[in-house]
Amino acid sequence: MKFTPRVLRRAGRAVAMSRLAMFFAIMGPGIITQNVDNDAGGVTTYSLAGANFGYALLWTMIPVTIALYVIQEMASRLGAVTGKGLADLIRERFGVRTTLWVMLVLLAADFGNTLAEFSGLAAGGEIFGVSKYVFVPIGAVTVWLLVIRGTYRSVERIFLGASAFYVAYVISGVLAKPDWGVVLRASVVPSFSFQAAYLLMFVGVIGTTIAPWMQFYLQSTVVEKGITVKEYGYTRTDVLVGSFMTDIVAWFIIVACGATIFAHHIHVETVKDAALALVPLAGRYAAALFALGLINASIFSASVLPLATSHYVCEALGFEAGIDRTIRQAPVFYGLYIALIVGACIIVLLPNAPLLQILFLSQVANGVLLPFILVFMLLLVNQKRLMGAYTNSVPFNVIAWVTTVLMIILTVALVVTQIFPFGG
Amino acid sequence: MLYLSQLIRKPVYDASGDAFDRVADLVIYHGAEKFPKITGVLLSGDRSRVAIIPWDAVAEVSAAGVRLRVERRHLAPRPLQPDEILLRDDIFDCQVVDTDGLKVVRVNDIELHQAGTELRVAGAEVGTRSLLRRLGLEPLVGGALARVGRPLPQDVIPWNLVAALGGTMTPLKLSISREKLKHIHPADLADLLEELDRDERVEMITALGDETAADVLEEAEPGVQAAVIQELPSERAADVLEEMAPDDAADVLGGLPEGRAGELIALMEEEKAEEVSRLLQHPPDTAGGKMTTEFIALPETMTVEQVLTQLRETRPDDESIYYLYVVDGAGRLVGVLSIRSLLVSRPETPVATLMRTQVFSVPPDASAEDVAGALVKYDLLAVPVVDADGRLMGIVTVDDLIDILVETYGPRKLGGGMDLMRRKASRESTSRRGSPGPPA
Repeated sequence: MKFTPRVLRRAGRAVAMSRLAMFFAIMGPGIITQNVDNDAGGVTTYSLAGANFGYALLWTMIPVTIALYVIQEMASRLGAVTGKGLADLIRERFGVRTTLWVMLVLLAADFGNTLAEFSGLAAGGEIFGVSKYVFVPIGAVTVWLLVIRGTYRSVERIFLGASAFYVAYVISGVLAKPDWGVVLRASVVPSFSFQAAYLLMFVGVIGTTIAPWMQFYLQSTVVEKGITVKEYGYTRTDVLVGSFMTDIVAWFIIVACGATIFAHHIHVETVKDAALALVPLAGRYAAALFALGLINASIFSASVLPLATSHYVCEALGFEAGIDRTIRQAPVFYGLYIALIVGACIIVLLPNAPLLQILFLSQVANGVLLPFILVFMLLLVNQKRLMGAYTNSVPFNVIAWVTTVLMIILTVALVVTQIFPFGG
Repeated sequence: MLYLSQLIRKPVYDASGDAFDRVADLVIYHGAEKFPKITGVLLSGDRSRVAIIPWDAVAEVSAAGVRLRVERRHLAPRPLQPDEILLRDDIFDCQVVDTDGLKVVRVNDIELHQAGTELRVAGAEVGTRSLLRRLGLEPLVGGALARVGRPLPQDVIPWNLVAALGGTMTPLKLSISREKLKHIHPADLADLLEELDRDERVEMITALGDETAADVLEEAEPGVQAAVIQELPSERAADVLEEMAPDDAADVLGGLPEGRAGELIALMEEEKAEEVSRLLQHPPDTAGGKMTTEFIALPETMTVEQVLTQLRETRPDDESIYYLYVVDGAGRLVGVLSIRSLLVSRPETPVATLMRTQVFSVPPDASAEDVAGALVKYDLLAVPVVDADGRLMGIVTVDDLIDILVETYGPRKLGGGMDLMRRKASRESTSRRGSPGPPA
């Protein structure tokens, strides 16, 4: 008996699939991390930046891209040279106490991010007229099944493909016909304000672009893919491309929102209002397009983030981890994972939960917590014993340290302006 | 009991009672001793971390600190020896293998056994209690739990059951690791391998002999296989690949960058290299990609007696003894012979009269899923792969398809066993393929 006809059909499909696989194979850890990063919190924060401040924050995109590249390059270099994850390295080099604090910081930031993902889901559902009490539980169960049944790996590419939704912002930004002269000038000429709202937005934009978890995630992915110093040149390019892609998308979101929402003096009160930026492209389908993008990004990130966070915490503290273990074997791991997801769901499902504020403020929290992680990355990447000839160059150290110190100063300024508001 | 965590950063007094420095680390000789002696102490003041104070200079050690028997200026530090390891730097907070529980664990603390001034490593402590001790919370939490009648258990792995991998590989260290790992089944070693970091994986594979290393790699996940082969020195990688079954070796090589795969094939024995290259021409998810070229093909002219003699001489592997295939002069598959019929027949019977001539076979480009489906449906342990002219190219055995079988036919933990798999396979092939003919 031969299977020939069916085999032939399969072969035809296999060729098409392998082309697609090639495309995704070229996409390395850097680009994937950046795509997970453009999540519901990210889109909302960039949208609010454009909607509330017009082009005033566009100039931050160039320095943020540089800082993002420098920091991500450090994370992937740490992974390639040591073959270990960031949480492991912190534990082995700084001991239990430090590790516990770092893990608490990471947990806090990622609980915020998980909240943001479920808020994104709730908001996306509401745009389609589905109550969050129905949509969020369905989303949570979907995430749970994707992860526990191990189907996540096979659908990751679909999520990644759907991330192409962000192209909508590029087109919409162009169709909105902004005054390009003004936009370009705003992109290169820095401006600053000590208004509390501006500072908050500033920290939020940095926090959502350079989130703490990304450094852990990128480094682990580099390690898992078995990338070593030998293939490292390629990863550097991958990280560079990823950084640019994220920030080009962010730049266009700000432009699109600035040219539509800000230009028409509309005040964004709910997540749905942010969809107005897509009207030049999608007309009356803008809200639906926006909601689909939001839901895709939310489920994608919700599948990755809480699970990865539980992994890092358990591995660093020496608890068993992994979905191939049973709840009895890895109680701490499952406990954390369930607490993150269920906790986030409960808060999002509270009546009148301020979804827009959750989405935005969680990203501010990322920004505030970022320097704690950066300090340890910098200390590690400069250890000769660990990195040998691959320690940081002087420019890298300068950029990363400046970013760290700047984030601390901004946070302090943020706290001060919250207590003593002035000028605004 | 004394713990390493209680000694780190504790003051070091010299003979005059002057607390002149602090403990930075303790040194052991990583040799054959079951519970190695502490051989020296490293002081915090020594920023370059090279000068070891020999343990002979120690008069007294306790959780309060270390008292030396000589004065500070008479100390004679010596350099760290290649086979010595630093407990805090190399073991503390790092991953080790629990060779008894077959787990990779993170060391929270190290238990030290004291007899006079002699200090020995007793075991590696893992678990919540040691974690709390490191955080300074053990008295608080431990005490509270003890009061409610549920004292925190202590989880110490005796040092003779701990394999500390990673770090510099000296010949002595490798032989110790080999000694500690030798009783573990390759499949368990493969599981451990997956949990280890890169350097530790390389040490494990380096410590094991080529043959065991090959067995372990065959059992490991594809990603881990590729990562390990990538990291090993080329010569050694080629040696391990030679020892692997050709189909598994081909799978590993197929997952490597082309340049590296070519380099390794060039380093392999000619015969193995040819076989592997031939297998590599087939896409990995087809019968050709999954098949092994190690199978038994008998000329149809042989007698039972001749076959048995040949089997005794060639001593085929477990994988290939399932079925004996019979081929004609041109290598075309003409029949299959069971071991049973061989055993129950008279020695002079020609195999041509014993063999079953209705043999189920697949072309090399059949998808692995289809092969797996057929395997389950017809209750086979191996399926022969034949080319367009009917020549026998190789066989796909059940163990090469286990992943697909479990994924497609098995419930999560294979609770239903083979029966359930078979029923499901049969149902699916019926609905997909129309009426299933008998094996033809």
